[in-house]
Amino acid sequence: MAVLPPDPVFCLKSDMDHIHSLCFPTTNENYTSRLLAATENGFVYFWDLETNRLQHKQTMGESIQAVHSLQTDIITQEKNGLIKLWTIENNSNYELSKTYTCSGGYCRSLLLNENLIAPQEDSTLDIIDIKTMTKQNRFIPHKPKLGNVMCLQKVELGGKIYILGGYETGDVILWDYSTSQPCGHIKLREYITSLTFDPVSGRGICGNASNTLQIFTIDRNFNITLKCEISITNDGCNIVKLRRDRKIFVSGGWDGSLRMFSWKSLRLLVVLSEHRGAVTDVQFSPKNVRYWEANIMAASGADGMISLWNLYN
Amino acid sequence: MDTKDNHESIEQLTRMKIACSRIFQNQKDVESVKELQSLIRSARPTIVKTLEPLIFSVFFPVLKSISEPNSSFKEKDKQQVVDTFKVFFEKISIEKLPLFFNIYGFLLFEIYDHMNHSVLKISEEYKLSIVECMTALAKCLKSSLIAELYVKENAPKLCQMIYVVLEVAKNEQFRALRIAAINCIMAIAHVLEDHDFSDLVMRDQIAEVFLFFLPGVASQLKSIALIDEKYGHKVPSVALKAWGRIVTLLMQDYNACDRKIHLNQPTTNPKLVKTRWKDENELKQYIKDTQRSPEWYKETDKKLQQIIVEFAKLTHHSHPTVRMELVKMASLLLENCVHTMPTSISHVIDIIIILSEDCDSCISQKSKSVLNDLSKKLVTNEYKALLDNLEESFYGVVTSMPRKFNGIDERVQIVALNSLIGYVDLFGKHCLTRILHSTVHLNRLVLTLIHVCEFDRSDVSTLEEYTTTDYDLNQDLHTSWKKFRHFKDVVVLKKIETVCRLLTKYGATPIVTDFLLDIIISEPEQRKEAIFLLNEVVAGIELNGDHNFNIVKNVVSTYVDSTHWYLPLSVMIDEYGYEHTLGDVQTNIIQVCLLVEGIGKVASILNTNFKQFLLKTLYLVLERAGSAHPLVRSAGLLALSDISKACGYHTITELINNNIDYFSFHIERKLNRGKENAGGLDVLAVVIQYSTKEVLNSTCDVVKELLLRTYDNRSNLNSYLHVFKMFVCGLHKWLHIETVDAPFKTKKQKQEEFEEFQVSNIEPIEDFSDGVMGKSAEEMYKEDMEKSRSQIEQECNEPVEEYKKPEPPTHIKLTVAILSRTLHYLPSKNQTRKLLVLEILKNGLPVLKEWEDELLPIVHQIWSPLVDRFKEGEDAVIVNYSFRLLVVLAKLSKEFIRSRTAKEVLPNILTIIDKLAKESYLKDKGSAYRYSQNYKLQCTILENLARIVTDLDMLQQDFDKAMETVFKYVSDKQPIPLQKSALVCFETLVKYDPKSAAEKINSLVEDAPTEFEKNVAVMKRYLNE
Repeated sequence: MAVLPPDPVFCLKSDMDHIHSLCFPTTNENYTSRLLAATENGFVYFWDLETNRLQHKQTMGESIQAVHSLQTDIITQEKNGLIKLWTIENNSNYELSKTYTCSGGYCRSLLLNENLIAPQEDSTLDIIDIKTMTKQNRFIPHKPKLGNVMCLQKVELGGKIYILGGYETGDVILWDYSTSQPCGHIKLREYITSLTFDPVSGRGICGNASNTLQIFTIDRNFNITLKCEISITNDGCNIVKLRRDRKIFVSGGWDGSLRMFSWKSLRLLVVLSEHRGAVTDVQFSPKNVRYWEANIMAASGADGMISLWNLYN
Repeated sequence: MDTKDNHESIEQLTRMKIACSRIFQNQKDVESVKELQSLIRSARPTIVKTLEPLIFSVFFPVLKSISEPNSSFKEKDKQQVVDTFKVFFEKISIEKLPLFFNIYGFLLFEIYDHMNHSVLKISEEYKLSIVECMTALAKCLKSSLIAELYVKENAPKLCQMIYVVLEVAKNEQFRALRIAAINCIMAIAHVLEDHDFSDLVMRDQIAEVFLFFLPGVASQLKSIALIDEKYGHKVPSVALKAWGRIVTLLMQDYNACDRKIHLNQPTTNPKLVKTRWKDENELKQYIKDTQRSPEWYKETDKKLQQIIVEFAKLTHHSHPTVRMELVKMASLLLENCVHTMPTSISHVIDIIIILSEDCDSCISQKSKSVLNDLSKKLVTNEYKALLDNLEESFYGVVTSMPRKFNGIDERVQIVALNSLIGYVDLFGKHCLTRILHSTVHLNRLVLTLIHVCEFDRSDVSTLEEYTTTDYDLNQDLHTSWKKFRHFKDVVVLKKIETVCRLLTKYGATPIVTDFLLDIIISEPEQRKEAIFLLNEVVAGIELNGDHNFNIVKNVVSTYVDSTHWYLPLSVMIDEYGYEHTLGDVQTNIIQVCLLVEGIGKVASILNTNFKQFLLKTLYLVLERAGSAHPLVRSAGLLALSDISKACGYHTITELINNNIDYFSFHIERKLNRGKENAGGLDVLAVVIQYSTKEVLNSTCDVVKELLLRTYDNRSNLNSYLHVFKMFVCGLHKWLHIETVDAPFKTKKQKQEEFEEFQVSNIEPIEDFSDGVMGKSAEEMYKEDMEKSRSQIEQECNEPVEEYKKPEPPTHIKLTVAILSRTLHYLPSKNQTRKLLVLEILKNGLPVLKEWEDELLPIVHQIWSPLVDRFKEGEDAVIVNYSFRLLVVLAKLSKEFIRSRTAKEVLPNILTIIDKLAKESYLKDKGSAYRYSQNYKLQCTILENLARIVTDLDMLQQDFDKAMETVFKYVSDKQPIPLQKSALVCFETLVKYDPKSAAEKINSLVEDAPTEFEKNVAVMKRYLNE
């Protein structure tokens, strides 16, 4: 009998529909105890990771593409471009506090300290101050006809912060965060869906609509070079994510499979076919989850399920 | 009053004087002696006191003449005199030493043979009088006189009386006399009355004299206390009392502060005891020199120790009075002599410890309070030496236990456990953990307990029962896996449990659990016993703070570790080629039961805090509760009910309903894991058994998931089918789907109903019956076109609310999916699989009863594979199951399958029973045939055939064919049950359509052979009715 793939430690199910985004809220405690999931129907589900049960759910808009947590606040980003800041009221319900409008689409905004980076019209990026929900800055690409921004990724090089943006056309542009100027570029395969980057080795991964994952590097002069490609069985990858310890990266495919790779050798370690719909998001818990006594991985799917994994720890 | 009193006193006085003067005149005037005696007895002490000189002066001559050799006094008379003295002494007190010695001398003379150093041979009654008089004399001494009397120089004199009294106490048969003698010793030692104990100076002084008598007194009293139980309880009780009091008198630490320091110092071996002294001077010197020095204490302690060891036997004396006296004695020693007799005292503690678990509650209470007092003192520095001794004896007790448990006397085992409990209790919160921090002690204790509770696996049955329906909580959930090798008595078990609870109570939980967990992990040989002990330890934990919680968490994660939890429960050879023998399996069953019991216990102590463990444990426990092993199952159910209670649920149902998310995850997982993990099935069975409609949706989720998996996982298809079967059965339970037959209607009734329909001009909505499909396809198409056109027009004209097919609920959709999926396996070659599918279909169809739109397509799909089953005539089971399905189909879909049944199935069925009629012919009750599948098939068919024929409203020709075949079973040469079924069949048919039935029956009956006669008569009766 063939060795069966490992099991998830648990699956969170409720009446969730297509889940777009997951978020482990950061807390002051030294463990992670909650998980947020945002869905197509506009609900945000608050999962208690101590009991593995739904703690609370609240409707917060429609087709929420991304959910972020900032201390006690929550930020949601909808497909129509509406970004909402929610603050907690009477301990259980979140009240809408401020909004901001960016361009609609599937690109998830990126939370960077007190700022949110969100896609804007004409392939530009808005840097928003969260406290005031006002625009601080705008990043404008130096190339025309890039189409929509599809994904954003923070990059740290030499102690400075840069932002990578992936476009429909397959262009990837690197901005200097402090000067707001583009400083690097590469053209990869079309329909980029996701980027992830390792500041230590200077390597990154790019997922797209094809059956290929692309590995690129950024050198000191901001030259971005395609290093190699990994082909996977089926077309379409929604998410690539590198684990904090830089040992493992994972891709979540349209076929519902989660593929875990060794980041060092880029070897495929395991294919987890738990989800019955496309995998939409993958997050690693920032801290230990007490119930499992480990840092866990959470993957969400179009099937309305969140699978929790404790693998290769 | 006063005057009256005075008057009385004066009269008494006068009468006493008269009696005295008479006695003075005639020494042998016994009557007067008697009178005087009774006068003194009733007189007040003051009056007696005034007459004291007179009485003495009267009696001295008497005493003198009695004492003279060859005196002519009769013993009876002498006794009267002695008795008179006794009552006299009870009223007065003596102040002068000579007076004392006079009387003392006289009494001694009367009872003691100075020449032979033995007790004189006088009557028991007289001895009693003398002893009692002696007692009275000793009691009436003034304190000044005591100080004068109890000096070392008088020791030899007092010695004689003590010797005599001891002899009497030891050798006499007369119980009252023996008791009096012992009391007398106590009186001489001034320990008889309670108030004697208060004057420490006096006690110290008396002790100084008594130290010479102690060896004799102590050992003699010991042998009296230990006399055979047949002599009753009074003598030993009094002896014990005397022993305790006299020893305390001697050993009491009168000036503790001074002496303690020396006691612990090493002493030179003193030359205390010599048997003979050369002359009186040496004796005097000895007497002068001897005193209670540290050496003396030490030496005496050693000697007393041997005696106390023997007293331990009395802890199981049959009479409670004796045991109570033992407690009192021990408590007296513990109160006063802890420092002077360190060696002996630990044996005293032994005794009290044993008695603290006595079956008499007074005794155990008293002992416990003594221990409790002691336990409080133990922590203090002064008691350190004692504590060291106790530790050693504790070790001794523990070490001796395995030997005692290897024997078969459960009384000995209980005593051993009692003393263990007592020690643990004694050490209590303060000392126990300190002692157990010593590896030697901890090791010894735990390993001994493990040895003691060794399991006996020989009776454990490894048979599996396949009863998935009966999980009644009310059934006796006995823990019959708990059989021990060394004992059977529940009391022993309870004591072992108590030891474990106490270990927790006194804070040893962390030490002990660590140790036990270690054994569980590393010592497979002792694993069961360690789990058992750990369970009991855990059961005693009180939750306060994180520390204990972490311990419990540790225990749970060790228990549910798959290497401990999942063990082969049947004899097999595993994938590594290891053969699991019967013994292994029995051991495994015990271990599995213990583990699940442990989870229940953890739940019980954690209460609602246990909820956080449900995700990790509930599935596992459910799996046990669904086990095919009766022992494992009852252990699982027990744990399940513990968990329900702990988490605040009233029933197991509530537990399951509220936590299905936690275990459905595991069910899916297990069922996907292949054959070895059939546990998921067991769980589902339990869930279906216990749950109510609330779990329907969650269960649907699980089943839906599994249904999807059947497409990619063929290898354990049968397990999936099992689940589906359970699920449809569950639906029956949850939704209360009744399988009651629709009311029987005769053909006539049906026709009438049908006519009613026609009259009211409502067409039946859908009539797909094959019989009416007489039109060609083209015609039908045209008709439909016509209809749809008119419909469209109608809609345009008036938008009435359209009849919309209602959306069926999830479980109906799921049932449809299951049925249409599984019916594909009907033509399978695997018999089990076919049977499962037939069962699923049979049970699943009634679920769809109300949903005709879903039902009929399924019926249609089932048809062709089902028909083929009836062609497998050689497999009676398959035909049987298929026939049952047909019965359900007929019931549910009626005319929908009429003509196909008549055409495709009925001939097959009739052929089969026609053929079988020959086989069952002449098979009487004892025949093996009655157990065959063929016979069962016949039964099923005959019982249900009529129902099918009538439900489907079959045509006359089929009706007749059926009767023709069934008629064969009316023969009285057929098995009686078959005859009866056949008759019932006819009865039904007659009722349904009396006219056609009568015709057919009459034609059948016409030339029937004689063997049919009996039943034909019955049938005729049906016709007439």
